[in-house]
Formats: sequence, C-alpha cells, structure tokens
Amino acid sequence: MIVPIKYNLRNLFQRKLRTILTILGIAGSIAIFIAVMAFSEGMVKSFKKTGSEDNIVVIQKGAFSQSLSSIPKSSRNVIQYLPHIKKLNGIELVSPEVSIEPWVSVPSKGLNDIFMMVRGVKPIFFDVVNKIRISDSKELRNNHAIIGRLAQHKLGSVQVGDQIKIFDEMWTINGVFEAEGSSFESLIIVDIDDLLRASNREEYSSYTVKVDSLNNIDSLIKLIEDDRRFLLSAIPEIEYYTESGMLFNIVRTVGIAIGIIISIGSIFGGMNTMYTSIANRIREIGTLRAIGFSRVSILISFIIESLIIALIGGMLGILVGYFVNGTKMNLLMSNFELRVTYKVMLTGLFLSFVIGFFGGLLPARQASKLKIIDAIKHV
Amino acid sequence: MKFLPFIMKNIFRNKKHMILSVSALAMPVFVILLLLSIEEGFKTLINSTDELILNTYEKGNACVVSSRIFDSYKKKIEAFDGIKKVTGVLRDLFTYQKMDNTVFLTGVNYDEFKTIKKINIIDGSEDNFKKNSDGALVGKRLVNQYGWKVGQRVSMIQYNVDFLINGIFESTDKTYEGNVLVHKEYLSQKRNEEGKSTYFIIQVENASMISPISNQIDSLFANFPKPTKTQSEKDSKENELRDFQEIRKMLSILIFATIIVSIFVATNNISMALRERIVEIGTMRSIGFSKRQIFFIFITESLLLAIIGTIIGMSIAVAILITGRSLSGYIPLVINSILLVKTLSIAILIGFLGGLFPMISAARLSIVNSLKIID
Repeated sequence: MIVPIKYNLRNLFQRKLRTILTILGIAGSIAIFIAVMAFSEGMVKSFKKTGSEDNIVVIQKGAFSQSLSSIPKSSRNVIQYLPHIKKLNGIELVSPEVSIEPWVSVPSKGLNDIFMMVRGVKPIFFDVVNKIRISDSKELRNNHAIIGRLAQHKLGSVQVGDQIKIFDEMWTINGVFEAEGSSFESLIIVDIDDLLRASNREEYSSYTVKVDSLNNIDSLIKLIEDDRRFLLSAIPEIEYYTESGMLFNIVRTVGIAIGIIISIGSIFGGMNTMYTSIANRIREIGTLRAIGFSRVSILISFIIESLIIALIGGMLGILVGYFVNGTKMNLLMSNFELRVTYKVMLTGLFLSFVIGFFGGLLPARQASKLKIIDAIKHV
Repeated sequence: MKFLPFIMKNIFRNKKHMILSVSALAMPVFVILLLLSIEEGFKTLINSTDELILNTYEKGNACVVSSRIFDSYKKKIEAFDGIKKVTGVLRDLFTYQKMDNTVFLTGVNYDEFKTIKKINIIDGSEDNFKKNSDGALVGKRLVNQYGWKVGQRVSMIQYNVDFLINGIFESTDKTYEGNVLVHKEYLSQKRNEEGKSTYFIIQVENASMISPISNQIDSLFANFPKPTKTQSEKDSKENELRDFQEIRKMLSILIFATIIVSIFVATNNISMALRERIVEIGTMRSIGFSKRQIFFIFITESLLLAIIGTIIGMSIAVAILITGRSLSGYIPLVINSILLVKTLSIAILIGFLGGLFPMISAARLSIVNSLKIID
C-alpha cells in the first residue's frame, strides 16, 4: 500500500516558508546550471553547424587556422584543375579566401578597435559556401562589405549603408546575412582583392573547395596533401570548424564544473530540509506505520516528497534560466548566442530530479527504519 | 564571550545538520573563490606589465599572433631619443597533442630580451638554452599545465616544431610565464618568416616619453609596407584581453547568483535549526535570557557555521589553486590573501543575511507561545 501523495502535498503546505526557501535554493542552482549549459551549447553549436559535408578547407600545411595560414596565389591553378571538384555552369567550385582578424572601428557610433574576423572572397564563395542567406545586395567590389548577424551586433548594430573602418580604409555595409546559426554569422565579408590591398598582403589564406561526390572526399584530400608544389593540408569543412571550436573547450569545462558543484551544494541543502522535515514528523511516521503502511511505502513517500520540491524548484529554475536564451556573447573568434535548447532544459530537469532523489534518499531511509514503538513514543 | 562554550555545544549537537549546513555553504564558497581567482588572473596579466615599455604591432591587425612587422624597423626605432632598448619578438600559436592544448611559442633574441624582461630560471640551465638552437625555456605556468620536465623534448602538432626544454622560468611579467621562449632564429626558420617580428618590445627612459615616442614611431612607418601601431604595454594587453570582457561580466553575474542562492540555502538551514529549538528558546527566555542575548547567541552560531563552511570550501579551492593551475596556460588562476579575505567577507555576509530573518522572528516569539509548541 502506497502512502497517498496528498499526504506529502499537505505536508509541503504545512511548512510553507521552509518549502518555499528550499524551492528557491534549488531553483537558483538550476538557473545557474541552465545559464552555463546554454553558454556551452551555444558555443559548440555555432562551430558544429559551420560548414557543409561536401566542402573541404585547404590551408597551409601545419597552420593553426585560416588566419595564420598563407598560400601563394599561384596555387589556385593547381587546386582548380584537380579531379573530383564540383562544377557549376562549367566553373570549378574553388573559393580562394583571405582571413584576417583586424581592429574595426565604427566612426558613426564612436566605437573603436573591435576585434573582428574579416574574410576576403570572390563571388564564387557564395556558390561554394551555400549557407549564407542574404536579402540585400551581395556586391562587394570597391570596399563594400556584408556582415553576419552576430558581427552586426558586435559592431554596435550597424545598418546597411553605414561605414566601418578596417586597415585605415572605409567600407560601406551593403547587407546583413544569416547563416543558419553557424560561426559564419560572426564574419565581415569583403572583396578579396580589396582586403589584400588594404592589409598589404599578397597571399591567400585558404581555399574552400566543393567536391563532386561525397565518395571522392578522401581522394581529393589525398591529391591536395600529396602535391609537392605547395605544402597544403586539406580538412573536411565541418571537422575544421569543430576543431577551431575546441580552442574554447576550457571555458566550457569550467562553466559546466561550476554548474555541477553548485548543484551538489543544492543536494546538501535539500537533504537538510528533508532531515528536519522528517525529524519533526517522527510521531506521524510511527502512526503511519501503526496503521499498516510498510517501511517501503514510507521510504517511497518521503522520496516522492523530496522529488516534488526539487522538480518544482527545477522547473522554476529552468523558467528563470530561460531568460538568458538568445543573449549574444563575443569571445574573439567565437561569437555566439546562449541557447536554452530542449536538451539543456531536460538536463536541468534531470539534475533537479537527481537533487530531489539524493536529497531525499538518506533522510527517507532513516524515516523508514524507525521502530514503530520508538516513533510513537517520541516527543 | 561567556556564551561561546554554549554556542559551540549547540553547533555540534546535531552533527548531521552541522555537516549538511557546512557542506551546503562550502560548495558555493569554493565556486566563488574559483571565479574570483579567474578574474584576478585577468587583472594580473594586465597589472604585471611594465610602465616603461612600449609594444609595436602591425597596424590594424587585432590578432596577437598573426601581426607581422619587419625587423629592419628596429634600427630606425633605436635611433630615436629616449629609447633604451628594442627587441623583436616572433610569436605563434601551436597545439600540443590535441587541438585544445594551446601553446604560445615566443621566439626571442634572448640576450636582448633578458635585459628588458626579467627572467628568473628556477630549474635547468640558461647556458644550455643559449647553446641549443632548438632549446627552450618554458614558463612555469605552462609547465604546470602540461607537466613538462627539464630535458624533455616536446613536439607541436604544427610545422614540425619540436624543442628541447632546457629550463623553467618565472618572470615579473605574468604573460610570459604562460609562454615557451625559443630562439627567434629557430622559430622564424620553421615558420619561414625570416626578418619578421610579431611585435617589438621597446624600453624607454621615462614614462613621460611613452606617448610622443609612440606617435613618432607610428608616423615614421605610416607609409611603409607594414604600418605600425605603438602603445604602452599595458594598453596593448588590455586591448588583447578586451574581447574577454563579456565572459568576465558573465563571471561576475555567476558570482552574484551563487551568493543569492547561498543566502536562500543558509536562511533555510538556520530557520530549520531554530524551529527545532523553539521550546529551548522559550526556556532560555523564561530563565532570564534577554531577546538581545538570544539573538546574539544564534547569530554567532550561524556565523560560526558560515565560517567553518567557508574554511572548508576555501581550503579545497586553495589546494587546487596553489598548484599554479591556469586556464589553458593563458589565464593564470591567482590566489592571494586579498582574495581569501574577500571570500571570507562574502561568506560572513551570507551567514549573517541568512541568519537575520529567522533569528529576528525567533527572538520576537513570546515566551508562552514558544513553550507551548510541542513536536
């Protein structure tokens, strides 16, 4: 026979202040946990979503990233005529790119020296990297730029028609684009030759190449890496961006560790509440036992009570934590939005379950072990 | 003071409560100290810069590793009045074993570099480093990060770079303690970047010259193939770390949230402890304890619990932090007495605020009512 849940619910209302404080404590921990998870989720997602399965990134052999890689322009003739490259209207889908991280100023907003990622591209870029959605003009020549949604935020919400300053030259914003939440949304995209001139560079940084069939990816990579004329590395695009994201793993690790430690603190808090709650009800427990409820029913009953508190706290915490959803964060190459996804919310709920279960387990065990006589005698 | 034995007895009376209350506070205290330590790490990087030093980078380039200027600029800079020393540094980013183990390699002309930046060898031999073209001196923060030893040969994932660790050093400039110093010649050969530097370190005679000299340098190279940007070492460090501002803001919000949560938990714990003792309070009142004395006894008890929790939480944090850990070798985790005092004050605040409301209501209870309560 199970102790009716009504009994537990009534108990919670009996000790309102204590119940509310425990719920608030758990809600706070879960809210902190949701915030750090949303941070980690947003950061990882933005990198994982970047790239297409049939694209590969070609960089200087051994280079850490596109912006630390330089490849002579003449390599384009070599790459372009390799087999297995997809063609569109007879043109090979090979996009040479220059990646630089310059200080950018927005004179109209009085903003100076903002760390941005700028990519110089040719028009073919938009056929190779086909995630970029833009309703405005894609025209880049003569110092025009298009900027990603997150870049726009970092640049103080500049608008189409505004001017920004990169390498002492003024660039007019022609459009704002979205890229399915990928890290491309942090980019300022300009014409490759304009950028080479403005930055006094002569070499490309990388190529993005579209393969004609997924089966040929490995052979194309091998052909590029085996070429003796230029020392190059080729990496599937998705893998490249996922690895770039690993640079910030430490920030995630610390965040998640903090969330977990605070939740453990919460378990102790919950346990304390349940112990007191039980200590105050010893005679009641004796009575319950005397009228026929088994030890197991008592155990289950108290765990359920603790779970109710924890889950209410958890849901409240998720609700509060949800407010961080969509907050934009800037961290060098990693600009992203905090994302309270279903996964994050479910993890939060699961954690509150864990808090409730373990917070209730030991006290409930103690309650179920009481001898009827002792319990009823207790004053 | 005369109540102290009584208070101590009370604390230890219900051990289970005590342990749980203390642990419930120790956890957040641990987190708070850790977060404060990260923030302090950022500050240390900025504050350990030298006020007589300027840094010259490639103009417009925000990336601290991809900036390149020509070594040929050095002679021209040395010719200015008021300049004591100039040295070029080539820096590049590498990874060790896996992509999230970042390592900054700083290629220096060691004899020049050492006269500007204080390098104190704590293990190994400086002479061996000078003799070995592929030798390296590793900052102590990085050594802690990866567990490297003197005599070990370490390979980077990129550019076939491998170096022999000849020594471990400390420096007054905490940035370099997270770097590997190698010979500039070695790094520029591996990277095929002979004749280039990432930045110059320039020592001037006095602080008033920083701004005029910066302007002179930058206007001289304004029309060169690589124009320059010169500023004080502190300003350039602040610029470098500026993109971490939002993370730092988030850290402060986390600290604040943790404090609030802890206050709830503490209030709850104390109000429960008091509830159990209402009859006792009634008895104490009836044998002559004043409301004020009762308030004092219980607030001291609550503060003592907070302090015990804090000491435990802080000890765990200190045990971890004292090993000289860091975030990827880049941001040091700093621990000092000011941080400890700060954390302790926060904990006392938590204990006090947590105890305040339950205590006031307990002290206000009339004697008759508190004695009447059974169960």
